[in-house]
Amino acid sequence: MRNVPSLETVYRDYSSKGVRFYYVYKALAHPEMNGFVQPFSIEERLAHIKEAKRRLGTEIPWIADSMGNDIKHAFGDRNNSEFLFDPEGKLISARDWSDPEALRWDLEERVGKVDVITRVQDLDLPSGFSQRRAAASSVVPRLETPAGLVATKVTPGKEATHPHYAKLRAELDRSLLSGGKGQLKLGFHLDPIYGVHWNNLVDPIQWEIRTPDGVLVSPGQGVGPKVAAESDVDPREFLVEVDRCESNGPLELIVRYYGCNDEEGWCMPVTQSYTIDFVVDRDAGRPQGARGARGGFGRRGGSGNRAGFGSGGTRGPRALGGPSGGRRRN
Amino acid sequence: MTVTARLFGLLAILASGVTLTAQGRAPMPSPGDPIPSVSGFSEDGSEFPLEHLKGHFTVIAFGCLT
Repeated sequence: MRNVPSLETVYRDYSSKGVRFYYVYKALAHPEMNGFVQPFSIEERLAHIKEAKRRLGTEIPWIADSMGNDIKHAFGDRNNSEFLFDPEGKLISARDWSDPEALRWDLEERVGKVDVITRVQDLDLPSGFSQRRAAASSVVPRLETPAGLVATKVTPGKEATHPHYAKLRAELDRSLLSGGKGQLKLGFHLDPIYGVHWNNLVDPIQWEIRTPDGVLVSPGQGVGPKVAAESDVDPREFLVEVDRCESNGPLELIVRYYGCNDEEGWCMPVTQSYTIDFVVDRDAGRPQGARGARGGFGRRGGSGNRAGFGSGGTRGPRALGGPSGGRRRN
Repeated sequence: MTVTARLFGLLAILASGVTLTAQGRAPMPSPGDPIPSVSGFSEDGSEFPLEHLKGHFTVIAFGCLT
């Protein structure tokens, strides 16, 4: 997240000169980090923006990408790219990794230099952020994810009368994409924007899969672990074997769980459904630390520690175009 | 290296590029390209066509929480 403060300094210096700045909030590059998972609705994506503003202390306005991820696709699917357009709407420069220093050079050349360059230390940005958790975490062991799984398209059912407090992320063997046999990983992740935790004093989460004719799933249903802690927010993960037997139909999954929100003072059973298609979800991102998965575009060059927003502060300029891309200040 | 081996090498490189595209990573816009005709949403939830950005120098940076 080191590039954000530098970009904010460029904003402070050039917004008064008529230059407009926008962050585009895109699909998560690394879902599951700090508990965050891909939003299911534009309202949830806007809630992510609120949280990002709280954490980053940014003044640059945000644009939420559509739920079809149209902006991300139109700009090349990079995680931390940066673009400068001229007043006619023509692209001047494009960088696949944001480089505020090089951007400043671009603007100096086209708009002019500023009298006093704002420094990061001039900004009143938060030095850290507090992680809000609704209950204990790291009390349920994570499932060892088999290598090579890819994220698959998951569609929440429209019957939901409540938000999807727990969200399904599904990953599968590539062999399943072409109708064969393989493993399917089911992960139910509590979405931190709702402040909900599992209620471990009642029955644990339960799920069942309904298959199209000919498809075999084993086990076809499952129950979460008994947890000693009264409540927690850890993911509930399961691994099942699937034999598609050449069927093209999707899987239907029903999940039942108890969610509680202490701040709002409620605790209730929730039943929700999903459709799992045997199609790679190009926008699902990739959890950090995942082995061999290629379901998203989160990892670059083997580095496993970059947060989703311009954390590659040691990278050099990588402009793909524009006369000043990649220059060094003398 | 024989001509055949070089040809196979070239085909392998081309094939890897096709695979990358097939995995869903679209090409980035190039200098001179117009701002894409796509829409997002402003922070208040209203639709925000990017074409509305014409008229000013505009910086767009991508990011997310994680």
